Amino acid sequence: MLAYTTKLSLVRVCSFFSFLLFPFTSIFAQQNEVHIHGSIFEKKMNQTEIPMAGIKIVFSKKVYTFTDKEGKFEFSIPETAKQIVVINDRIGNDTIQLTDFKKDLKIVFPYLVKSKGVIISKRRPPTEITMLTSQKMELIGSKELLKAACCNLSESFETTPSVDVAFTDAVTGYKQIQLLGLSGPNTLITRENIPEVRGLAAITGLTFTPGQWIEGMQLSKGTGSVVNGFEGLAGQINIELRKPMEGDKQFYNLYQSNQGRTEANAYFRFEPAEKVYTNLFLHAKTQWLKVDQNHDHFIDQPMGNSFIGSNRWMLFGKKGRELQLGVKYNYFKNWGGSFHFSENENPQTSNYWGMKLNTNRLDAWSKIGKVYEHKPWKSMGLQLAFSNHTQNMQFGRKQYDANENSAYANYIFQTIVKNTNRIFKIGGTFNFIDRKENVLQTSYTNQEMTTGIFAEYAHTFSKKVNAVLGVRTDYHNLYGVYFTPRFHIRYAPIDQLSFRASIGKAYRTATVFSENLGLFSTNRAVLLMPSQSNGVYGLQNEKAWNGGVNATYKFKLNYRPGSISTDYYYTRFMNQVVVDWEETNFIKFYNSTQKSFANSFQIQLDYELIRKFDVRIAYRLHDVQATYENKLMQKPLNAKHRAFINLSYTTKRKWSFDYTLQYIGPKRIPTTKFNPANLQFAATSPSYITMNAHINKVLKRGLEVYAGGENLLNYMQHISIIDGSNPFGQYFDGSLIWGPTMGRNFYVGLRYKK
Amino acid sequence: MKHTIIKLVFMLLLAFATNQIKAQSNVITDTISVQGNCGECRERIEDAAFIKGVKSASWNKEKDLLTVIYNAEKTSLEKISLAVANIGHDTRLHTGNEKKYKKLPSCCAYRTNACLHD
Repeated sequence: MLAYTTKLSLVRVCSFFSFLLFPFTSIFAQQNEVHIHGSIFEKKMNQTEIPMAGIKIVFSKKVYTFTDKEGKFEFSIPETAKQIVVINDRIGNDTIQLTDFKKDLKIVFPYLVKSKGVIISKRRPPTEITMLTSQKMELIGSKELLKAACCNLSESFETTPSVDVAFTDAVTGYKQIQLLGLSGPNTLITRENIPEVRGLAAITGLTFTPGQWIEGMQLSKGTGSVVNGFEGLAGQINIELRKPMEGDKQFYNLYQSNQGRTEANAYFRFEPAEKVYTNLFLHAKTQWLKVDQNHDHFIDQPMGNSFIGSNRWMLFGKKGRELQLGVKYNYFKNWGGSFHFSENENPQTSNYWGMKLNTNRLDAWSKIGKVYEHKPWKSMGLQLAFSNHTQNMQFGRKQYDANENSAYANYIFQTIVKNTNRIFKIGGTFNFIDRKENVLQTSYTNQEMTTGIFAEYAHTFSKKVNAVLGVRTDYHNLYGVYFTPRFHIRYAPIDQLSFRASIGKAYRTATVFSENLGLFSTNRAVLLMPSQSNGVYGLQNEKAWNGGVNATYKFKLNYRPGSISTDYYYTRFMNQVVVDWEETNFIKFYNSTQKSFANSFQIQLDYELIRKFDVRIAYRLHDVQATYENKLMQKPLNAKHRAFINLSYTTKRKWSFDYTLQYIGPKRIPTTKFNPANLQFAATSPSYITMNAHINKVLKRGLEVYAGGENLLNYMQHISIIDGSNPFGQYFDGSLIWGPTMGRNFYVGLRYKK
Repeated sequence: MKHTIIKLVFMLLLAFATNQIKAQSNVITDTISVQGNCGECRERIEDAAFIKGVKSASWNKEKDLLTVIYNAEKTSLEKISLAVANIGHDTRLHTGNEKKYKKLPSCCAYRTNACLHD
């Protein structure tokens, strides 16, 4: 560096040195001193100003002072002084320009919700991979979510290579996600660490969280922490909603697509009393246009309205106590099916195949927490959640009515052993689910109750190595004892490179109907093959092991940051509830202890190619096989190969452009060869490419508009329904979906925040 | 398709490599104090500092410090500082443009230090 300094212009060098020498020259040459005085405050959350004691105020290495109890300070500095520095460990150093020596200096530090490290001042990439946690975590920030119009949770993964999103069938418009090649319910989806998308909401639940409400998400693959339960075989997706004590005070959003979908979101945040915060979320969506882009004579997206509202409160008490309360209500009234079916017809008597989907769901939750005074490492928390879910669904002549009540409680106590390198968590979980279903003229009543205890120990051996070992034991009223051990380790030979490994066990109860909604848009006969008479649907629970390794390397190339990340996971089922579509005209559910595994490999490169131009290239391989009635086969409708390119560019004039290209490889289609020749599908689907583009422009402070297009190539699976013209015949099947059933979609929208 | 991707990756890597070679000479890292308040200021300051010859510009809000990496043959700290001052931010070397300062959003009015957010 020094060698280059000599080449600098004279002016630069002079100014550089004068700056360096300035304090010394002033002290030794001119001894004229002035006395300055002032006080330092910190603004608290409730806007009151609290004096900061013991803060160091520095003029030079030798001339400094500290504030007293009332935050006051005074000291003498040379007359020529232009600035002093306030040393604040938490916020950082602050340079204060001196203008009038006689005036009493008043310095007020703003209230900071997050502890500010150096990281905050870096340009944060929209998606980041953590380097220090023992488990690899992809942090999907709100910036990433703004890359697409993302109307609900299932659509917000469009720019995330780790998650696959696919339609469940040709008529309901529901999408399901896949992690590691395993169907959605294997992923634990939590709202601020309380399990949410499961049971009756296993598929539909992804539409219950509007994308605009989300502040950020954390995605981790492989079995996660035992604190959150024994589920989550493929990974965990945790959703953080906007917080009532920070962020936008008001937020509005409007969205309109050319496929006849209109959405509106409104958000408000208040502070009604000291240390009491609340926010209100509102969402409305309507599909008012009948669209059939793939010309299968069935409506692509169900018509109708949905409303979602949520209100939550956060209260901070004395001595580190805090309380959080929240409620959320979902109302969905949709109808669809055949293009000629109309809303006021009864699907049971109509000549056309009609569909009606009505869902009401209430969620209420509470979090009670306490951080011990003067012991910030010691805390406890209790999470409580309750939900009531009612659905009345009609698919043609088939009915699926259900009601589910669930109660959840999780207590966590955290402390350290001697020092913060050894963190210990213990606690207990209680979960109760009461589900009544009336499916295809059969009633099912299931009550599940699990009680469990867990302990997790995290040890930081050095800056380079840390590990987490967790175990939990649960007792399930139907399936007995669950023992769930999990282990994570991280090794970082250098700061930029980290290797991680994880292994863990997971259990799950399959709710076969709500997890396979696609079966209702077929005339396949449902065969439930019982294996345990008192089990849920007469089936045993699922048991599986998952292990994985991953490596992340962060680099700087040509002064811009980038990262290469790769991972490999292997899942092995000990007992699986197999969803078997292999025999035409049937869908079978049975327990299998035969070979069933998933290999998942992914490699991803992220780089800022030119300033503010980010490139992401990813490739992933899924090899998922299961034994279907003694025959080991690839999981159907699962793409083995998928590749992904995402480009995003932001200009100085606040235009941002985002472009995503995806290649989806061939998928195996369950056989249709026993159908009449004209009602057959090929054995494998063709590979295809989809492209999405999104443009965003910040017009002025707080106001931005966006426009974009999805599926720009207009690639569609044109024949998505077998024998759609004869929907009550035995061959009708709308569940074999391997590609987009909706064509090109353009949308515009605006966001306004205050 | 797979081949195209592999090719693309190689092309990208090649582009990096050539860039690296070019970037060898006269590249220096320097810092200058720049006054500002918030995240919005950061974006404005960094955008302004990114003039021709600048490789990287990052402003630290807590330290009011702009770190720049630039090619000394193409530009100088003086020029960078001037570019930043021209959009209304005071730097160690220049006083911010008065007209531009007055047009900054109220939260970015760093001279009165009235910012309460990120």
